Amino acid sequence: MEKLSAFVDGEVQDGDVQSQLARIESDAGLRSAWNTYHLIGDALRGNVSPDLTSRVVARLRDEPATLAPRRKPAGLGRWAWLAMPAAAGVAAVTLVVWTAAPIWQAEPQIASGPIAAGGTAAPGPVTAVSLSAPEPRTLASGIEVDNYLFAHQRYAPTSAMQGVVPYARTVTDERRGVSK
Amino acid sequence: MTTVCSRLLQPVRFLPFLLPVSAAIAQTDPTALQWLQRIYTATQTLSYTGTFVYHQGQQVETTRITHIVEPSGTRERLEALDGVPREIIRTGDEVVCYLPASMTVKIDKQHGQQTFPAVLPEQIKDLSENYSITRGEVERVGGYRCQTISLEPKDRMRYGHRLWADVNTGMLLKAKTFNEKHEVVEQFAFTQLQIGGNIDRDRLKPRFSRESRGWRVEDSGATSANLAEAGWSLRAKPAGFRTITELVRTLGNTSGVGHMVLSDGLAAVSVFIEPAAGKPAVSQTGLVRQGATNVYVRPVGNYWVTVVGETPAESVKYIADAVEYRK
Repeated sequence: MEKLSAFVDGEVQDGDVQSQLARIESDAGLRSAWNTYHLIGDALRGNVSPDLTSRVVARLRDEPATLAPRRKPAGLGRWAWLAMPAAAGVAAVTLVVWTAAPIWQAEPQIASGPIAAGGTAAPGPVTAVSLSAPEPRTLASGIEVDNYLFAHQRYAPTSAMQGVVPYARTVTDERRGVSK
Repeated sequence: MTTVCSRLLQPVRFLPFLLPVSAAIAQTDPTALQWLQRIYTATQTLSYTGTFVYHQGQQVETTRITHIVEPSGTRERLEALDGVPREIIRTGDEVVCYLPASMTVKIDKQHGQQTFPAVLPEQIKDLSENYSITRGEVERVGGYRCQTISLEPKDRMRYGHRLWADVNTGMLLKAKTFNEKHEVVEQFAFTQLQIGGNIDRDRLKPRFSRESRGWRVEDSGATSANLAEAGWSLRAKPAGFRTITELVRTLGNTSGVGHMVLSDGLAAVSVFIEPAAGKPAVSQTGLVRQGATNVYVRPVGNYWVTVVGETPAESVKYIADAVEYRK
């Protein structure tokens, strides 16, 4: 799975591409994970549509060129934001857990619709997938989450009681920028 | 790291919290309020140095802190002991964060603002409108005997807290934040601590001050502002929350970001308003969480509204949805 994740991220050596493709083609589990990873990637880029499965299959079959390892785009991180469109077809992917990086999670209940007064809004099925996302995480606005956190810490609930202690939250995150 | 965290959570300790009856009948105890006051005072008057562990979500981080109160003001240094070295230096009202991995220095200084911290203990009495505050047992933390204080939220718009304060000095040595299911979402605890006595001033020296000279500097340049005048307001606020400050600041490389802070006296929520390049897509509305911190983003007209708070998801979403622009 780790290899697959690296592959999705375009981070495998060129020689491994063919063998990875063969593995994905022959292993149903890997195929499904591959599908999910791309769905998440697309969701993060805000490009989700309900016929994604067929698109991924079509891509696998017809467009091997798109599977070639990509260089990381310079500038903005790829995982810009976990988009949460209202379309029911994409409700399945609402929880993403970053492992190499700070543990930010999309909230399934909130993501899948407005909060009902009685809390009855039924969240869609939740799929938790680990992603290695070494780049800084930016929100839709193009600003890194950490910038918001840093600006907010002065007012954090316990800053009056702990002084600068809550700032530990903001420095916590930086490691993701270099570790892998 | 994650397993260490879950192992350390020691569910047995929270059993009293799991009994709904205790929360329902708990009334705020005046002596518990006095203890909160003691904690605030201790933060402002004590000098100390030590190491604490911070858990949020599945992350655990060890940090060294030195806090020295001098006639000229408070100086403080936080140094991350795990992973890449990072540090935060606070001098009076200015906070400087050195991030070597991205070779960035972040500076947060509030011009024309009351001194740090902004959430002040005048509001302590008001806290009992939103929390049931009670005193618990005396327990030991890091070798110190500590008074425990519980803050049970009266609604779902804020988290619960349990605090451990040194019996002798009032210093906060441990704190846990609970969600509505009484699960710990965040906690910190000192593992080693020296209160008062001879504290080496060298411990306050920034380690990166020399090598950071060529680094990128991001200065918040925060100044007081009237966001209502600019057309921004909140249609509604969760019970007990008041606007405590309004600013304009720089976030990362984006200047002119509106920043409104709401607080119920303990929990704080920041509302950031920044102009979008073009009209934002509604599909990019969403929420992320880390430990006790929730972040909710939604577009309003040609702006992004980002709400950040150590409050439940419902709370940040409620506030974000209440933001409106009228001009």
